[in-house]
Amino acid sequence: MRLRELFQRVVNTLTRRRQDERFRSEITEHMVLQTEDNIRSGMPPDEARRQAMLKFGAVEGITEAYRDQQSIPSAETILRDARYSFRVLRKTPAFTGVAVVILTLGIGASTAIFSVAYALLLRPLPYRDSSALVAVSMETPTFKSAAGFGVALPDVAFWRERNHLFQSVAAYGLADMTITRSHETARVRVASVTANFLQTLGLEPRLGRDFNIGDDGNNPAMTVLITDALWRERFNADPEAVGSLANLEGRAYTIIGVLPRDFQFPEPIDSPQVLMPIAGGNESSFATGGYRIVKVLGRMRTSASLAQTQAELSAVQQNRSHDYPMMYRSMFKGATFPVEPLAQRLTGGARIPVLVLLCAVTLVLLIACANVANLQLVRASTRRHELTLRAALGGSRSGLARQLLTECLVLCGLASVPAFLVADQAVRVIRATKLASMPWLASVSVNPIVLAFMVAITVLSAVAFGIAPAISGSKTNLLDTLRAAPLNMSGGRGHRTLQQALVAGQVAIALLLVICAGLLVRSFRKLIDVNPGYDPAGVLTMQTVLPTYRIADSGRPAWMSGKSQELLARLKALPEVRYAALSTSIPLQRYRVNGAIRTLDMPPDPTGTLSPTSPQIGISPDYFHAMGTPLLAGRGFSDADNENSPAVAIVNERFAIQFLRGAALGKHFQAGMALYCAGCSRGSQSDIEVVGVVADMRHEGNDQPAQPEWFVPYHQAPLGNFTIVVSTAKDAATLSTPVRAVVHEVESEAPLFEVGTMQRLLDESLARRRLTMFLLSSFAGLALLLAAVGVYGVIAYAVLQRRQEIGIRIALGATPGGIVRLVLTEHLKVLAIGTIAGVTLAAASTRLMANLLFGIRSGDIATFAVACGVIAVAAFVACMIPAWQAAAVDPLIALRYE
Amino acid sequence: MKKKTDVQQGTVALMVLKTLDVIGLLHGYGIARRIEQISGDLLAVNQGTLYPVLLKLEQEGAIASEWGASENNRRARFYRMTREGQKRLEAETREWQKTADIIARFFAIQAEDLK
Repeated sequence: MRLRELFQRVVNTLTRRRQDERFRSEITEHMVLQTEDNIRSGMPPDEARRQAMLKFGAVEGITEAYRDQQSIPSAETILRDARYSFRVLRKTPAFTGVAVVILTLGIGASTAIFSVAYALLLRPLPYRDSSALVAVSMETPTFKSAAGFGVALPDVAFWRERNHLFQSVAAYGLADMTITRSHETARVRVASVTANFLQTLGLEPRLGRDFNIGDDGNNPAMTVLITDALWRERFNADPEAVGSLANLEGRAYTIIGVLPRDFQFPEPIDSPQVLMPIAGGNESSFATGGYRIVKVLGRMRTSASLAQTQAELSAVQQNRSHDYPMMYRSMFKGATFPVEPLAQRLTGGARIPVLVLLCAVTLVLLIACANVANLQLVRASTRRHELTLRAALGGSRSGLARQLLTECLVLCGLASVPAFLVADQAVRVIRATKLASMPWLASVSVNPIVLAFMVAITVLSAVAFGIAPAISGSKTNLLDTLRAAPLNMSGGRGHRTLQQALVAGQVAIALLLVICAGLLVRSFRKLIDVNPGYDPAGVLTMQTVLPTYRIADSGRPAWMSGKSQELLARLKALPEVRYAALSTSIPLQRYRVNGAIRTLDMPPDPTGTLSPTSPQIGISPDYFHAMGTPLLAGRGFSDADNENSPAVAIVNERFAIQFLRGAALGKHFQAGMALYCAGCSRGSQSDIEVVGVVADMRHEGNDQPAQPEWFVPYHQAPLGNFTIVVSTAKDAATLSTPVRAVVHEVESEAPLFEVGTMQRLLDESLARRRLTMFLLSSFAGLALLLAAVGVYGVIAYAVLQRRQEIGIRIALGATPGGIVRLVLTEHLKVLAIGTIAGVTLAAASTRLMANLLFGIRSGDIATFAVACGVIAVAAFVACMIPAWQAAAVDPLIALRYE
Repeated sequence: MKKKTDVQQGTVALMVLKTLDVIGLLHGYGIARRIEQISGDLLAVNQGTLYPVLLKLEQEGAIASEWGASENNRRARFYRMTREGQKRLEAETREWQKTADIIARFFAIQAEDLK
């Protein structure tokens, strides 16, 4: 069929412009002329008309040919094919059932994961023209972080002035603040943003107005924008809230607007509920040291590419490093400013697991397709007789192909409804994990386009593998096929080879997936077995902030010390509480204060700043007891370590090794931050003695090595923001209510937040790995099952074909064991090839998932061996069932067919 | 089986083209009459099968059609050749000529020629 003709036909079909009308009038005309001619040659009129009709031929048949010529097969034909397909499928319930289940699982699983991947990797961000948005971070040789280190605010202001760099560039910094409203306090996350922040994203408040340009800077306006959620939760969705005052950290701000309901802050975690104009940012703040490190997002000029923007920015920064004040030249030395698409920044950590899962689920789909293709192939062989007969009776090959294709479509159609349900359920499960690190998961839903795409792929594969061979098979000599007895339907060498290749492929892919899953499972077990350096059992933690804004600056440290002591005393008095302690930072919390230190071994820095930095943590005496962290040497703190005693510190092992050459006890080091102690003075560095060494705690999660840390008595370094840690022999969660009550009694304005057990924090830190492991294991299980079904199908079919031969063998005295061996040995080769291919594939590709692994190499021999064992067992079971069936063949029944 | 139909359809198509080439504008019945007159029995029965062939030729762009009035002043569909049809006719004529020549030479062979 030519392109033009096809086009014409499609147009005809689509526009339903049936040319029946034209055809009918042409026939009428033809008849009239013929009849007239006949009359002229002497026939009576009736006879003349009859002869004309006879000569024209069967009008119905010709009309149909005419219709066929002008359109794609009519709805009639399709309906007929569909009806026939249903009948055929109903007659073979086993085949239909297995095929539908396989397709359901394969299509369902892949639709779910592809939907997730779409949400993560392809769906545009909810901002205007979001592809032009970029994130800019700073990297120096000493500071490199996957999350991207911030940029100094004066730099951002500088870029904004060079307006050829970006169309618009905005910055933000995040902080937690206490909001007070009619005596209720709550902790909210506040983003200090440049005034053009919303403009850069291309958004507007749903109520009220945006910040005015110039609201940020040296004298920031005392105005805030709040999110829709906060507006509903704290202000009862009252439109009057716009224009009213909100009290943040003791200062009054005017609420000028409410953000759109679907507003998403461009930060993967910890979305703020309040926006306020950012303070500072001019060049002079560099000199005074009062600059902020902020996160930066820019909107590229419409004409600029990412590479171009990057190049221009680098060029601008190159010259600029000379402008920095002396002090920062060394600090920002060698700094680069990578620019990356905002979308990439936001999905950063989740990309690799999702890509790995995507590959895995594609492989599962591939196995499912291979299985269906195999089933089609088997069926095609068994239906050779039928097909040949139909061809012999005048069925055209295109008609047969159409019929088989319809059957395939009906199968996929039958599977697509349950597949949608499977996908929907899977997406629900994924969504229910509520991973804190992947908030975008909450908005994932099954994508109908993805589902349609998956169904289409399945149909295509079934056509390519199943139907095409069947059609080419029907071309062979009709007589030969018809002459053969129906049961003696050998599929032909070509079919057999194709089947065996499909089986070997399935085994290989299933093995690959089982190996990947095995590696993840073993990684996860290792991760759980890691000693985190604390005992999460029976530990309850909650954060709070003392309302220091009520107290004058000079009185704050003493007031905080007093409050904390009162609080801990009251908590200890609670029944069931073993230890009550506080710490300015506990493991798995994201934010920590870094304190600069210098040991006596280190040469003094010419610029006067101290480096390196290492987390400084203020703790109360019982902290290590409460956390179950062993003290390795020296002593713990007591209440006697306070502002009137010398500065002391407990360091962890890592710190001792890295900074104090191992033997830390009794050594001194200097801290950049002033402490409150006997002999310390404000504004100068403190000299600290190490009095104890404590075991390392894995602060950033079990998969991250411990960092050097140093602990100081809370009284010597009080902070308003700290975490209360309470340990009990019972279930920690039950303590939540009494502890809350105590805190509220001691300080009614102190909000409590992030209340939870240490175990939950630990579980959450492992949640993403757990989900990845769970999903990949499910896929591996699915792949294993599908491959086993595939192996079983092919061997069972081979046995069926050889029934007579086996019957004869048994009649001649073959033992059942001999028959089983006969069947097995024939297929072992295919399985062996599949296994070898699978191992080779795995060895080549597991390296790609190396950074998802923990504690084992990607080529872990034990995992490979176990996976091979699993595959071998599954394949063996799949082989044994038909082999036993073969051994049980009754020779009489088998031979009777001859 | 299918092959045979193809040949026949192709033959009819060629006859239609030649007829239109000679006569110019003609309606369906007229084409059927000419083919019957010249070919004898090929279209003596099943004249109707001509119409799908006409439609196919039109879809392929070899002929074009329009409504007009027949000799007894009834509405009839008239067919005419297009430039593309002309080209196709020429090509196929050459093809047939060649085939016919070869076959003719074989029929002309005498037993002694092969000795």
